[in-house]
Amino acid sequence: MIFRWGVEACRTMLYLVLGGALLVPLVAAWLLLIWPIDSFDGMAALWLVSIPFAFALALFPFVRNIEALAARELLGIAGADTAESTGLYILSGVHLVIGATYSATLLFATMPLIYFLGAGERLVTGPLPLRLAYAVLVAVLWLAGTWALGRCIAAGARRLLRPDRQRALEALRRRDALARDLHDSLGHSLSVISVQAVAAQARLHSGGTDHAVSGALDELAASARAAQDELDQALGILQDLDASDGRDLASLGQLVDGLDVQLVADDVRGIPAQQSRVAYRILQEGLTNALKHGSGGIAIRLATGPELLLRLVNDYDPGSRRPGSGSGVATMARRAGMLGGTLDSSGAEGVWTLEARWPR
Amino acid sequence: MSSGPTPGTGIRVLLVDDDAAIRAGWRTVLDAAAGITVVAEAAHGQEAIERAAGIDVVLMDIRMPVLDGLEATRVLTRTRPAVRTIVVTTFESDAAVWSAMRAGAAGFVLKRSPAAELLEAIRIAHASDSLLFPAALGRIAAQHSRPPAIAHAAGLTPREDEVLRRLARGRSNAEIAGDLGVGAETVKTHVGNLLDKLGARDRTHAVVLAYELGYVFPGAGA
Repeated sequence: MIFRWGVEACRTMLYLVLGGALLVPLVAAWLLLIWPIDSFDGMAALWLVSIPFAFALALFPFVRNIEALAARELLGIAGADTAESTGLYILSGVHLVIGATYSATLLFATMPLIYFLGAGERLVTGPLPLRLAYAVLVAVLWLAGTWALGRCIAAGARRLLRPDRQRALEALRRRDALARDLHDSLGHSLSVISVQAVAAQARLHSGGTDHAVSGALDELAASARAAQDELDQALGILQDLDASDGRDLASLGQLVDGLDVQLVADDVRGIPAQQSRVAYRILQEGLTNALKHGSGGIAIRLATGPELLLRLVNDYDPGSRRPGSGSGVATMARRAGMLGGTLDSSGAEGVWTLEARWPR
Repeated sequence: MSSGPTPGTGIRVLLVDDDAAIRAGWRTVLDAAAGITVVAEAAHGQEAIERAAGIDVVLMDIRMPVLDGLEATRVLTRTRPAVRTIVVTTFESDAAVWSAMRAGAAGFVLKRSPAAELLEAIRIAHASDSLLFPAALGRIAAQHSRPPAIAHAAGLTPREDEVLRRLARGRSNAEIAGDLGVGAETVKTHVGNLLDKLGARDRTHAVVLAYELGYVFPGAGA
């Protein structure tokens, strides 16, 4: 129990020092350019200036990303990534100010301890055990205070980082749609299998030839395989929606590396993780198709705006089987559909175009 | 074009499903059965309506392109009262099944039913003297009917009320006569009267209306 508190306090300390560290450039600039801090007025003025500076700094997305990560890893607040952005902004600003204050206090509070343990003037005199006991007491009190402060910040952060209701609803709606989709399509496939099984039985009972019975069983087996494929597809999509370790658009460069692909992509960093994973899977599948059935170079366009647009264009030999006429396109369309979007593929005059889009 | 079974061909069945694999499977099962002949197939409701002449029983899928099974059942009930429609569904919980029953279907079967159940459904629907799978009808009524708190007054006599409750449990006229200690002819008269009072086409429709109007509550002995 005590060990757990100790770990929690240390994590909090790290969290607060991190907030302070982000404001170090301000302190440096202040010291160099404006005012020494060897007076109380100087310190107070710096502290006051740090507040607007902190909230200005929190406007940068990368700062908020760091903040979300820190809240999750060091305060143990789940869902910081899906929080409403205003809440995260306020938390970031407050964290920077409190962190800077804490860090400054930590520095000044340890000075007496340094003097005390070192050879300089001593604040507490007496035998070594007594002095050590004093040091331990100060450290424990400091950690206890840090722990309590961490508790307060975590409680506040939990309120600020309430998951975005709209986003949560949207995710639920998608999961629901997928479940219904799976229920319907798999239900249908299983019905076909069951009708075919009953038909095979009927053939057997009515004295059908081995050939006829075996034909009926072949049909049944084919239906079962198709249902299995369908299930695999649906579970694959479910994984896209859930996976935390799946590849996303950030790995797009790796995907096309070494291939004859002309990639024109907007900045993908702002794209929500789920959409990014689905987009990656669609492009991966489209690229596989294009490589398998097409010829020549492939052009990929990834545009971000109010909606996300993926376009893959390549040449194919009009005489051959048209690329993307198989079940692959159906799966891709299903993926896009899960995000409320559409996917079209069309081949004309030897050029195959795959285009997916959905609202962001 | 004559309706009703012709000697030698037995019950004349029309298969309606947009999936050819389902139609082929059913055809194999029905062709192997005595007294039942598949005389036509249709891939959607519109084709079903066009091919329903001279048919005794229609096996009707619900979700189909062009015209769905629900609408096709409505049309067939209106234009061909002699044709008995059995709705075939993947899921018993499907709300469309209850709608089809209200629209005049003689009953419903699950696509996953064993052959014996499918054949029984066709024979019962064709004979139309008892209710198809009363327990299952009670279950879907429980899910989808919205009975009022108090039964609508359709002016049923206490005797007719008793007869209706037994109809909902799937009892035949002869069984009801035995239950109530009256003659089969008397029960037949009661059934005729209560069909009139409820405005029902047949006993299945009477039971569907009985659930809808709150005369019978799903699960009450069904």
